[in-house]
Amino acid sequence: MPTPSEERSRTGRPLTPVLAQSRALSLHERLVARDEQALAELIELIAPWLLGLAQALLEDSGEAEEVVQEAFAIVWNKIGQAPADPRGLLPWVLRVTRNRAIDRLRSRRRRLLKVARFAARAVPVEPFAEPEEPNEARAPGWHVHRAVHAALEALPPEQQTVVWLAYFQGLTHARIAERLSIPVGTVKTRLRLAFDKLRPLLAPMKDWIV
Amino acid sequence: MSVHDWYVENRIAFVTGLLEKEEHALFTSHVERCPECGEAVMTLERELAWLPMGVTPVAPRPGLTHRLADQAVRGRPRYWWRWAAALGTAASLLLAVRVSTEARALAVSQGQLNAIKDSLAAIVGAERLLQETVRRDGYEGGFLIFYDQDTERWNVVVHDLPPARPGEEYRLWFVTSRGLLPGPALRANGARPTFLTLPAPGPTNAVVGAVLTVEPGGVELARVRF
Repeated sequence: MPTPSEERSRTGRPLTPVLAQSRALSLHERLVARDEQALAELIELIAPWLLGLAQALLEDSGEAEEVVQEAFAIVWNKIGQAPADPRGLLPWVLRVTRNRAIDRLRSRRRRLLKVARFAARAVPVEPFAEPEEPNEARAPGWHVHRAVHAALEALPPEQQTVVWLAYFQGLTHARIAERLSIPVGTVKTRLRLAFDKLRPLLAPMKDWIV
Repeated sequence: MSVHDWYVENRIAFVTGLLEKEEHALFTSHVERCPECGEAVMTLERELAWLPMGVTPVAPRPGLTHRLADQAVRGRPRYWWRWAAALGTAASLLLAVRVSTEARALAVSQGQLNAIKDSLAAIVGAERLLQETVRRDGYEGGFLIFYDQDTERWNVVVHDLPPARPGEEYRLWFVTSRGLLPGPALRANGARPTFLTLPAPGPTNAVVGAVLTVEPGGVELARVRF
């Protein structure tokens, strides 16, 4: 079975690195039909985001790869649990990966390790400062990332910080309160306000469409 | 504030994975039985579906994508000799632990007896002590909570309650100045009292009462206020 890169060389042109709605449906259906090429295509499209997500939460590239491995095993073996909605496949894969990473982080030892590592660093003033934009063709989904970033950057700085610590670093309310020297109630309030602002901004976002 | 309000307040925290492990498990079992929360959680999951894309992508190492596909389809390789070595080590350790365990058993029993004596002394000396009668499934039991100032811990006793029904559990909640905080699950067997000793839930959360519920339904069996 050819890999995506082999597919590229065989046809003489690269696979379109985006996931149109019709193609998402097709990918989903092909995964249900146990098409290994469909899994390879999905991995090529979304693995960088899953690795980024797991690595941000776990701060360990080896563990992040294990989590992503587990996520793709779930995709392959439990594709029946993915929403039938063609727009639901990628969010489901993202959710599965994040839940696996959070499960690992919830183990006491790992959480303590994380907190110890985290304590050695300063909380960035602009946690969502944009890295250099890569070539769009080499980072499928980059425009979705940019839209999410725009929504995050629209938050007041104090809300950006708690969202970054909580959602993207996986720290508990209590740890965030400790880190920022603010009451737990303030952490919860800032998070609630932030998510109330993010929800209407993120809700209309569509799948990766050309 | 009802117990259900706690679930309403923490829906986003649940969806975004911000609850503590035990709170998360509590919420999960509640969502399975509460259509209102189930619907709300699904809506939130839809709305926040793309938020994980806020991370910076990480390029896979060379060969990783191929390995991911291969291992997802064929499963991870199993190295049986590693398991055998681990089992051998574990067996040796168990033998060693067994010997020392036997020797310590007597000391542990003495320690437990001392702890019971301390607990009884704490009840006698407690200042904030409340008790409520609890009735369920033909049983009439009690729910007792008091604060021990010496150890700065809350002590809870539940007695003469039937075992929780399959899929259910008894749970303690602290009523604090900042709202409800879930405490641990409580086991009951109807034959002997259950005794728990718990740390105070933080200096900023002054405890003003307690609630005993049946979860995941959030049915209140007893509510006490100081």
